Amino acid sequence: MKFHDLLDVMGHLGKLMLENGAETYRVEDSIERVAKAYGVARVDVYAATTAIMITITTPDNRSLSRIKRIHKRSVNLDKVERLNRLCRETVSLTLDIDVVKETLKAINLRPDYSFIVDMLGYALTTSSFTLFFGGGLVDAAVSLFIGCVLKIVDTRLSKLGGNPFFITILDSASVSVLALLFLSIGAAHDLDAVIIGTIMPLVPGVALTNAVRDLMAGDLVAGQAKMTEAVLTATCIALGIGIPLSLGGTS
Amino acid sequence: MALLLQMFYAFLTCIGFSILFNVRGKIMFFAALGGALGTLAYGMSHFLGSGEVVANFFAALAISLFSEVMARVRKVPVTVLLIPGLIPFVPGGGIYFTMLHFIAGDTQNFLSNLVQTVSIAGALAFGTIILSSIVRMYYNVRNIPNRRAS
Repeated sequence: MKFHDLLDVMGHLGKLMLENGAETYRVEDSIERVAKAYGVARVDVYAATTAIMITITTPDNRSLSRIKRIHKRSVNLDKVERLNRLCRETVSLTLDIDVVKETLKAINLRPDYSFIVDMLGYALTTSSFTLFFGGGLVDAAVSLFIGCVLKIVDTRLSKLGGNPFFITILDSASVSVLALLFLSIGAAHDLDAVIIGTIMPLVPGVALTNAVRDLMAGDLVAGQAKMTEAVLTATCIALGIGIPLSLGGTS
Repeated sequence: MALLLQMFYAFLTCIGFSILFNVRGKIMFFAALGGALGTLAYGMSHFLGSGEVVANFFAALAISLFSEVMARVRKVPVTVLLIPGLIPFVPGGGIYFTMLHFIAGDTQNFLSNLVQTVSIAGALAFGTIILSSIVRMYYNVRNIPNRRAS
């Protein structure tokens, strides 16, 4: 029966959107639109940060449900954009379900930026933010180096599969230690600018922005979950930079 | 001049973040442009005498307005432009200084920095929310089908 396939596609679409950092209301809205476009009589979607539940009622009055659990949470705005485009095309052209299924798979397999490009991204972010925060060119160079190291540390630690919050603590601790080291050998002059610049890739900007957008859109549960994530991450960063600083005795 | 330099740095930061968030192609440029415009708004409102929190609010307004418009022009979700653009204003400095005063045992400065950090985060959030609500209402009033969500 085609409604089973439709439900699979809807679940997969929602799961991919949530995993890659789309807002909850966008996920619910997209799934509802797809359902309506394919002649579902009634659709109820509940998306949270960690799960999606979908129930559809077919025109002959049968109910079908799917629950999709979400374990992975990352930010890949390229995939969000492509999923969004696919969803719009699906709704306006009522594409064949199999075509949509294949496209979803293809989008999921799209490669991320390579390690080197990603590292350049880290370096660019940390160095230019140090400048943004009033550091000198030498400080920016130090940040550039620390940014590269941060990327390596973060990748290595993530591969070990630890708790993401613990990884954040270790990441920011290594940033802090390196910054103190550069300060003590006299390479960096403005410790504040260097540390603030280099923790930028860790700060929970996405969680914060999406949390408030979700809250205001009425998704109180999802919004609160993300808000908690943002606050926890910020606390972990503070902990991570705080411990070496207090031991370093510069404060 | 200093402001122009700040805008340029913000632009670079946004480009870097676009890479971290896997934004591709021209969208990257537009997201970074949003960040630069936000810095302009931030600098202007500072120049006109508003405080740190209010300046961040105006920056968020500017970035959101730009993102909402560009999202419709380029037919992409608003988030794709908004998140990289808003990044330079997320109070990383606030988190750091709050921590610094906490370690030093300076309770007064710790609390005032904490409040400031939370207020900035709130100001950013409200800036984006207010603008996106206004845009939505505008589309509803004009009865233009709202193409943002799907």
